[in-house]
Amino acid sequence: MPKSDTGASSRSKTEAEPQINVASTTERQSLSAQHGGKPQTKESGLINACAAAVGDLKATRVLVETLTDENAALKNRLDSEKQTAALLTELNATRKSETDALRETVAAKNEAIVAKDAVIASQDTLIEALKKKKSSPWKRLGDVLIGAALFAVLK
Amino acid sequence: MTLQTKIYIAGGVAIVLIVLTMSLSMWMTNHRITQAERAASAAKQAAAEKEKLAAEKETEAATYKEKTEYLEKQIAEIEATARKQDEEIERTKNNTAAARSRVDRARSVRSVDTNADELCGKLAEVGHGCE
Repeated sequence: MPKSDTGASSRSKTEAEPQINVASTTERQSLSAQHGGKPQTKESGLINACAAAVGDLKATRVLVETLTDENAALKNRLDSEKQTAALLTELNATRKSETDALRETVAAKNEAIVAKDAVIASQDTLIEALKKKKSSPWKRLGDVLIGAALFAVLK
Repeated sequence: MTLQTKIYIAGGVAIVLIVLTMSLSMWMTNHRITQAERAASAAKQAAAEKEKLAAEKETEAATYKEKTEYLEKQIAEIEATARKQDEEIERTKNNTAAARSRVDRARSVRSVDTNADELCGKLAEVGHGCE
């Protein structure tokens, strides 16, 4: 779209004009009190206010961007915290399970020890029985003498 | 019945009794040994089962320990990431504070000395050109 054909372009040109062709001295002084004594018309005051508003808009947009960045960073942090919380919950459950498993291990080992004691006791019993079965040489000699005596009596 | 016959009978009875007693004694001893062997075997089996159960539980506990270590590692990694994110948040907070300060300053300015062309340029910068 050509610039010269638009109303805005023509308006800006006409608005730019008064800053150069300022009307009266008193008007200039009254409108430019805060601009270092530079005389202003109503239109130039409007332009200056618009420029201030543009600066405000720019700064606000930057603020919006930074707030968006901060929001994103906070959201990421929240996600990390949620992940940590979930992992900590899982870790807690795992540690409980580990504790239970270790307790059961200790109990099973104690039972194994008791069972081994029983093995030892039964083996002791077996040894005693085997010792009883095995006759001593003196007893064997006694048996032989008894046999010989019986044979002599019967003879 | 002569005395000799009686003696023979008595001797025979005595021999039979002795043999019976010895047989009974041997049977009892063998029975005790068999019982003791069975008891020892059963006790060994029970002990082996208990040991197997203990080993299984130990393996289970080791698995949980490995999982715990893995989870702790994961948590440590996430916490390291979180520290970086905290730094990022601090940086963005500083940026936001600076931007907010700039906005406050810009809002306090009621008028900026400029002309129409410069204004058009500024408006174009914010996406509202004069064309």
